[in-house]
Order: sequence, then structure tokens, then C-alpha cells
Amino acid sequence: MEILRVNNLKTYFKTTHGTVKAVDGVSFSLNRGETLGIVGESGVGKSVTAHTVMGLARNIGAGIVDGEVWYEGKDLFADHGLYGQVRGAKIALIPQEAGTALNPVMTVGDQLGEVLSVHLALSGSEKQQRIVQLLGLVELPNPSQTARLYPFQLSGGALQRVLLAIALSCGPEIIIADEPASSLDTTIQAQILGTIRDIKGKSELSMILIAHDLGVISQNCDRLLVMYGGRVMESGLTSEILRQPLHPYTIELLEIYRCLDEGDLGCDFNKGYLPSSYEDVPGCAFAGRCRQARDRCRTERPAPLIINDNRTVSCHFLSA
Amino acid sequence: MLTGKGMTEINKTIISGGVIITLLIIVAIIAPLISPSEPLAQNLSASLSSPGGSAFFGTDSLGRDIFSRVVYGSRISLTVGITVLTLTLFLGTFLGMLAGYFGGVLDSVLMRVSDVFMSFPPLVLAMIVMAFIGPGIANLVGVLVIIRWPQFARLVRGQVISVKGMAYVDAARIAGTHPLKIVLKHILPNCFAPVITYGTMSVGAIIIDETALSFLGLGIQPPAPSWGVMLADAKNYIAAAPWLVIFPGLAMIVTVLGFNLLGDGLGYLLNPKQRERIEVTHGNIKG
Amino acid sequence: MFKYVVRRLLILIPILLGVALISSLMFYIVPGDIVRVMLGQHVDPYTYANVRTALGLDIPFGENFLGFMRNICRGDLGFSYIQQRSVNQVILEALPVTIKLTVVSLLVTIIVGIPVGILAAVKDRRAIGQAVNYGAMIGFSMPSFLLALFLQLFFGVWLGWFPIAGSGRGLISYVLPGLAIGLPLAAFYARVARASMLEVLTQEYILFATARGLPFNRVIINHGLRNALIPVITQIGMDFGMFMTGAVLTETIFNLPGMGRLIFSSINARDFPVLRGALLFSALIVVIVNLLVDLSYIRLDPRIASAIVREGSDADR
Repeated sequence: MEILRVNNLKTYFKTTHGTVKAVDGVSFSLNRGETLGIVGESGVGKSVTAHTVMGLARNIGAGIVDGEVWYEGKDLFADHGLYGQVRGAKIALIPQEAGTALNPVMTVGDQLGEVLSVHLALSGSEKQQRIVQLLGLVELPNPSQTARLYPFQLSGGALQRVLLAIALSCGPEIIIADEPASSLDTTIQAQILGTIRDIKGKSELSMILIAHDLGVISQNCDRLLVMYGGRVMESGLTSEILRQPLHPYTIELLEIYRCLDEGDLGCDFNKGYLPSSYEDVPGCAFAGRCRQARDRCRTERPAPLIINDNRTVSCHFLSA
Repeated sequence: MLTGKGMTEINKTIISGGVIITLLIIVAIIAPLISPSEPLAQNLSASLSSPGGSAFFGTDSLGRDIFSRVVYGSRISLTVGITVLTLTLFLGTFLGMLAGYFGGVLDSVLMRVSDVFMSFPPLVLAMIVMAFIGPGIANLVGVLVIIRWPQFARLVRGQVISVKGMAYVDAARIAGTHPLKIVLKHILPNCFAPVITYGTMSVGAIIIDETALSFLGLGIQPPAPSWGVMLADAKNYIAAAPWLVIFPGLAMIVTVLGFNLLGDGLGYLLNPKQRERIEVTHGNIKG
Repeated sequence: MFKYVVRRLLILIPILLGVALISSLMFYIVPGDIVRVMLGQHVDPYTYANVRTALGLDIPFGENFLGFMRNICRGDLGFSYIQQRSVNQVILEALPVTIKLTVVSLLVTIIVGIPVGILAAVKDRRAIGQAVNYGAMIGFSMPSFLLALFLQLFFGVWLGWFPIAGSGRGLISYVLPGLAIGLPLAAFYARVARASMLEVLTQEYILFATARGLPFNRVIINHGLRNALIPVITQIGMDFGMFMTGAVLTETIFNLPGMGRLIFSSINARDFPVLRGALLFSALIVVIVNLLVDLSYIRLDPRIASAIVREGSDADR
């Protein structure tokens, strides 16, 4: 059952060198209880997409924002005021950098309590109990003591768990996790993702998980969205995509991941480049790097081809 | 290069500041051409007349034309301001560079000395020294340099220390480059931006200091048409002849404002990080 | 923590010593015979000899200086031969005026400057933000003594709302002088506050605060201000000296008998003992206020507190 639908999202940044089309026509849907993974290398627009869905595009400096975000039967983009009730309470974000996401001069417990006061109107001892309960839920040792610590006194992993606690605090329907724990070492990352999976398993929580690690993807995501150059290249069930990737970029991406995983230093890849963010790309975003690129690829943007119920691919080559 | 939302603001500031200062310099240079009378020429029969007629700004207690005096006063202010700045810049930069680069005892001594200088209330040190060595423009310039150099030295020292710690300086040193060359080629260029910004904004403060000291009788002496001297005189006739206060005062405000605007704009221009900040901040504020 | 305070005090002592030293040197480097400079050319030989001995001019400088320092520790700042009373008395007379003036000026600066600065930062993209920014620039292009003259003219002479001289009419006498000192500084601090707030608003945690659904006002106040005000408060503390004794010109214009005017008149009258005492006293106040500001900084920013604790335990080893 679909609980979130995103249509033709566009987020453009105006800079002194030109317009950067960080998100250029992204559409997808999220079903209840599933984890949708957004994958792609650094810089393809995954994080900006997440922030845009949360209605924060302008806050990160975007000049032009367009598209539709349908949630609970309403287009949040049509009436931005709705975000006030949605953010934090129904759709929660877990940011990427745990270290800088929290106010350095407030205790962790206070910042968690803030959200509880604002969204759930909790106060006093009830609030305190809930704080301790939430910190315990995310498997932080000594929750009541931890609540009194300041962000700089906690390790990266602990901070990430705090962010998770904040995200879960008001019982949201959707969590958007932006590469959670990717800056921490893999064991900790695995632990945290495990905690998330546990919590998710016990509820009907839906998640959008941004990731760039094959292991993380295969273990956590039900469906995948493969992005490149601000656009969706391919989407579908994780199992199907991993078994049989169709888009040239997906194929290359999986090769890279497998190669890195196996530690093979002799990986041979087409030395291409991410189109300079300032260039206008009339054709396929991947044309500059694709081994199979033809003239048509450079001039005409491929429309998503619907292969079956769950699978779409945007490539001229396949439709041939 | 100079495009984008943030840049138009910066350009406006620099241009307005620059225009004001240029006009000021022009006025100072062509002072004799635009003054209806000699700044020192007295005309007791017309003393304390209100603005009008040939005396655009009125006359003072000795019948001297205020307009001419204000215009000639700009010469004094600009000369003092720029001279003091140049001397302070060189002295402060030199000492700051030494302290920053060589560190150790030299640095500690410099810091303590400048601390002592800076813990005197502003201008008091200048007042005391001027009281001892006597008034006059040369003494004034010297004294103003003495009270200002610590700030420049500290600024430069700070820059030198932060640049010194950077990898490329270490690389140059390991490669055996002569210290003087390192200083000139790597460290000095990085000091330009903050020094120029701070320097430009200091000119305003220097002019204020000169005016203040002259106002107290410890700087430029009457009958020279320093704005400070004019204000000191004006104080006594404030009720009867407000124009004595208003015109020199306005001249001063405009002058200082010009330098402040220019310095402010330069500060943003020369600091690329500041410019980016403007763009991102605008996003965070929904207002 | 205690160690930290002690260590800070130790750094401040050389500064006080430096000020004491320089102001004592004055007695020796004045052109001409200092006693005659103070008391006039025709002072009688008896008084001349007495004053000369009392000032310790016949004994080596080092001894003299040590004697002065010993007196200071006993709280005795010297004796004014021109006014024929102790320097302590002179200072104590001037102090209340200065305190009142400082308080009024501080209030003006804080109440006007900081909200204006914050507003300018929050509304930076709007016209009002820009207008405030430039208005503030005009504000601090105007030195306090000039503003004093203008205020005197406008409110004192033309409108007659406030007294233009003397401390006679109670607190109302301090309004114009307070504004003269406070407003230019308010303009300066408005810009400092604005810059600090703008800096804070670019931080990641502000974005995340919005992301977790906190209302705009709350984000600005609890997260923005809380961090932005720290450097502003520190700055005010450090500039405290300016509030107190930079009032020389303003006090002169408004004829208020405070420390500022005291310093000026003692320079003019060549009353060196008073001058030395006043300088030392103001340096002491500045130094103490700086220390207090440092300590409050610890309370405001928990990161500093822990850094100090760590430093302290390191120093124990």
C-alpha cells in the first residue's frame, strides 16, 4: 500500500558558475512497511532528494524547487505549511553527519525532549521517562546518564543512535535515513543498521535508506532506486536488480561494489566522469560514461520504460 | 566573477564606499578652488552668521567661513588618516611577522607589550603622551601610530601562525627554501586580505582619534581647520550657532562611513568563504 | 577549575605591573622638574623638598616602584599634592558617576544593539535586514563625542527634554551621555551579533532542528541565539574598558565628574599621582571584568568547561 508518492521532483541550485540541477525529475513511491534504498555514487543527488522530500530544499540553498510530494492524500509541495505537522512527527530524517547535526551546547536528552514537547506536548516526568525509554530502545547503555551528556562527549556511534532515537521519538510512519553511520567504521554501521531493522520489524515503519554500500543495500532494502546525475536510472526489487541489473550504470555500479568487496585491485572501469554539475545535459545523464552510448543517448533523454509491476529502467539501449 | 546574489550586495558596499572616498580626496585636492574664502581669514563683523549668502555653512566666532574650513579640514583628516595607516601597517606587519614566524621569546615579549598597550583605556595613552611632548601634527601622527600598531601586529601574527602550520609551508621548509623567501612568497600573500580589510576600516578610527585629540586641545592646534578644532570651538556656541557643530560633524560622519563601507565590502570580497555563507544562510532562513 | 582561575590571574598580573610601571615612569620622563610642573614654578623650597621626598624622587627608581607596589597592596594609591587629599578619595568621588554612566551605556548597547543585530541576521534576505545592516554602519561611523554634541543640541537645547550638563538632576542626567556612548557601540555590537548569528545559521544543527519539525521561532531562539550570543557576550566583556573610561570625551562634554574626566583633568593639571592611581584602578577593573567574562564563558559553553578540566588534570602530572 502506497504511503508516499513523489512526482517529478526538481531541485536546482543557482551558483556563480551556473545552475546545478541536483535533482532533475525524480519520481518514486514508497509502500507501507518497506525499505526503499536510494543508491548511486557520491554527488548524484541522493541526499538532496531526501532533503527535498522533507521540504528542506530551500533551507539548503536551492533556488528552484518543483514537483509533488503526496502524503496522506495531500501534496505537501502545494501547501508547504503542512510540513510543520509532518516533519519530525510523521516523516523523520536521520542526517548523515551525526557529529554536526546536534546543537553543541544542549544536552542530548534536552534535544530529544524538545521534539517530544513540540510534537507530543509531553512534559515533566512523563517526558523524562520517554527520553530514557527511547535512548534505551536504540540500545544506548545507561540511558538516563547518557541523556545528560553533551554531543561532544559521545562517540560517533552513540550520536548516531541518538539521532535514531530522535527520529523515532514521535512514532513516525516514514524514516528517511541519509547514509546512516557511513562515516563510522563498518562494524558499528552494521550494528546500527541491525538495530534499525529490529525496530522496523516490530512496527509498520517504512524507510527510505540512502546508501552506497552493497552489503548494506542487499541486507536492508526491499526495493532500490538507482540514481545518477540527479535522475533515476533504474528502479525495482532489490533481489531482481542484484540478480539481473539492466541499466548500464547499475551494471557498472554493482561491478564496482563487488570489486571493492573482494579487494581486487585490478578493477578495470571505463574512465568517465560525472557530467560537470553546471552543464546542461540534454540526453541521458550517463551518456558521458556509458560504454554503449550512441548519438541518441547524448541528445535525447530516455523515458522510464516499465518492464513489469516493479521494474523501470531509463535507457534507450534497452528499448531497442 | 563578480556575479551572483551575494556579490551585488558586496559590490554596492564597495562602490558606495569607494565613491565617497574618491569624492573626499577630490575635495581635499581641489580645496582652494572650491572654497569661497581662506580658511584662516577672519571677518569679525560677520561672526556667527547663519548659513546663507556666500557662506554656505555659516561663519564661526571669528567670522571664518565654515565651508572653507570644513573643506580644508578634509585635507588634514585624510593626510593624518592615510599617513598613520601606512606607518602602522608597516610597523605592525613587520613586528607581527617576526613574532609569528620566529615565535618563542620574541613572540611572548611582543604579546605582553601589546597587552599592556591595549589595557590602557582608548586614547588615554595618546592623551598622556601628547600632553608631554606637546601638540602638533608630527607628534600626533607618531602617537597615533604608537597606539595602533599592536592591533596590526596581533592580526598579522595570527595569520602568520595559522599559515605557518599549513602543509605547504612545511614542504617549502623541508625543501630548504630560505626563510625570507618562505615569508615573502607563501606567508605574506595570505596576510593581505585581513590586513587590507582591517586597515581600511582603521582609517575611520584613526580620523576619529585625531578629531578627538584635537577636540581636547591635545592634537592639531587652532587656528588650523581640523574638524576636531572646529568642534571644540563649536561646543561653546552650541545653542546660538548649531551650524558650527552640524557641518564639521556631518563631514566626519560621511568620511568615516566611506572608509567603513569600503572596508566592509573588501572584507567580504576578499574572503570567499564569507560569500558562500551568504548563499547557504539565506536558505536556512525562511523569512 | 580553581587552578584555571589562578593561572588566569597569574597572566593578568604582568599586565597590571606593566601599567603600573609605565604610569610610574611618567614621573621620571616628564620634561622639566616634575615637582615644579605639578605645583608651579614658584613653590616654596620647604614644600618642594617635602613633596620631592614624599614622591620618592631621590631614591632609585626600583626602590621607589617597590614602595609604590607595597602601598598598593595596602590599598593606598598615593596622595595628590595639588588637591591636597589622597588619591583614593579622589577616585572614590568619581567612581559612582562612572558606574552609573557605565550601567546606562551598557543597557543601551545591549537592549538596542543585540536585538537589532539578531533581527538583521534573521531577515538578512529581506530589505529590512539590509537596511538595519547599513544603518548600523552609519551608527558606528559616528564617534561618541560627536553624537554627544548632536544629542546635546537636539534633545537638550532644541527640545529641552534632557539636561545637557552636570550630574545634578539624578539619573535623568545620564540619559544623553548614556545614549552618546551606548548607541555607537550598539551599532557595533549589532554588527557583531549579526555576523555571529549568520555564522550560526549556516551550521548543520540549525538545518536538522528544522528537519525534526521544531517551529521556526524555537529554532532561532533556542538553537540559534543560544550559540550566537556566546561570542557577543565575550566581546562586550572584553570591551568593558571602553565603556568605563573611554567616556573621557562624553563626560567632558556633559560635565559629568566621572573617572574619564578625572583622567583628562589630571593630565591637564599635571596631577601625576592622581593620574597614576586612576590608570591603575581602571586597568584593575578591566582585568577583573575580563576574568569574570572568561569564567562565565565556561558556564555558557560546555565544551570549554571540559577542555579546562582536561587541561587541569594534564597539568597535575
